[in-house]
Amino acid sequence: MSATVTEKIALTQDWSATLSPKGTADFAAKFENNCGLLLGRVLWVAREAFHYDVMKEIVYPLCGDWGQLGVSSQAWGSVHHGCLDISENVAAMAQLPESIWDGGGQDPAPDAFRARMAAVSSDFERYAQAAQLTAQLVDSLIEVGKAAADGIALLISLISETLERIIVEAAIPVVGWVAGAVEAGVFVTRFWLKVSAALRLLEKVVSTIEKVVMTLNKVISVLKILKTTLNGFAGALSLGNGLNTSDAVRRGWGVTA
Amino acid sequence: MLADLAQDLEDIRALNAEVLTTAAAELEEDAARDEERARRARRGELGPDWRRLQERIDRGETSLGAIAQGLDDSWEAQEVRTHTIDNLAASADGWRLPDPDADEPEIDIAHSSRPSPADLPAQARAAMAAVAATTARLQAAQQRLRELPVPDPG
Repeated sequence: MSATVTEKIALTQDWSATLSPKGTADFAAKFENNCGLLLGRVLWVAREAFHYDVMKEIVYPLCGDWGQLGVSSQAWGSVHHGCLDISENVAAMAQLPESIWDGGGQDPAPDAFRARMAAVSSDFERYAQAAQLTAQLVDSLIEVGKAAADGIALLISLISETLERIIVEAAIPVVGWVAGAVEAGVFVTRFWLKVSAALRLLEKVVSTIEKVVMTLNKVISVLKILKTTLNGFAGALSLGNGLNTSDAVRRGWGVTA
Repeated sequence: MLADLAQDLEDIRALNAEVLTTAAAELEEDAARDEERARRARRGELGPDWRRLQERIDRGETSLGAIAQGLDDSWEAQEVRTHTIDNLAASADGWRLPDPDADEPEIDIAHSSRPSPADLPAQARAAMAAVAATTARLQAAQQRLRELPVPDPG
C-alpha cells in the first residue's frame, strides 16, 4: 500500500470507532433475552425440584461484552494494516537511491541509514504480524463463543421442553408418582444430560479463552521486546542526528517532492 | 494456535450436532408417550380433570404447553397443576445434586420413604455426577483465568 493510500485511509476512517463500540451486534444480549423468554414460565421447576438455577449456571456465564471484543478485533486489524503501511514506507526509505544520498564515498551515514530503515521496516512488519495474529485470535474466540451460544440456546429450549413435560407428568394424580414413575426418571435423566452438555460447551469456551489469553501474553512479550528495540533505535538515531545531521537534513531525508 | 482454536470450534459444532440428533430421537419418543397419555385421559384413567383437558386439547382449545406454562387458567388446568406442585415437593431430595459443602447426615435409603438419587435410572445418576465434576472443573478454570497475569502492553 502506498503512502498516499495510507494517508487517504487515515483521513476517511473514523478511527475512534474502533475504540468504542457503536451499535455493534452483541449476540450475548440477544442470547440472554431469548433464553430468559424460553425458560421464564417453567424456570421455577428447575429451582424447586432440582435446586438448580439454569440461568445462573448455564446462561449468565456466557453473557459478557462480546461486542466490545469484536471492536477490539477490528482495532487490531487496523493496527495490522497501519503497521504494514509503515513497514512498506520505511522499506522504501531503505531503498533510497544513491543518486539522492551517497555520502560521497566517505560518509558512512547513508549506508547506516538504509540499514537502519531496513531493520525498522522489519520490526514494523513483525508488529503487523503480531497485530494480525491478535485479531485472528480474538475473531476465533468470538466464533467459539457464538457457536457455544447457539448450542446452549438449543439446550435451553430442550431444557424448557423437558421442564414442561415434568410439569405435565407430575400433574397426573398417581399416588407415589415420584418414587415409582418411570416417566419421572426419563425426564430427570434428560434434564441432567442437557445441563451436562451445556456445561461441556461452557468448559470449551473457558478453555479457549485460557489459550487465547496465554498466547496474547506471549504476543505482548514479543511486542515489548520490539518496542524496546525501536526505542533504542529512536534514542540512537536522535543521538546520531545531533552529531551528524547536516547532510541528511540538507538532503531532506530523500524527500524530493 | 489458530488450528487449535479451529479444533475447539469443530468440537463445539460436533457437540451441537450430537444434541440435535438426541433431540430428534426424544421427539419421537415423546410423540408415542403423548399418544398413550391422551388415550388414557380419554378413557378417564387419569381422572375427570384430565379427561376434560384432553377433550379441550382434542378440540384445539388448549395444549400441554399451555397447561404446563400456566397459560391455561381453566378450573381443571389449575386443578391438575396442584398435583404438579405436590408431586414435585415430594421429589425434593431425589433429583438434586449433592451439596459439596453441606454436612448432612447420610440418608438410610433402604428405610426411607423419601425418593433418593438411588431411585433414578443409572443414566440420570451418571449425568448428575458429570454435572458435579464439570462444574468443579469449570470453577477451577475460571479461577485460573482470574489469576492469569495480564501484562501491560504499554
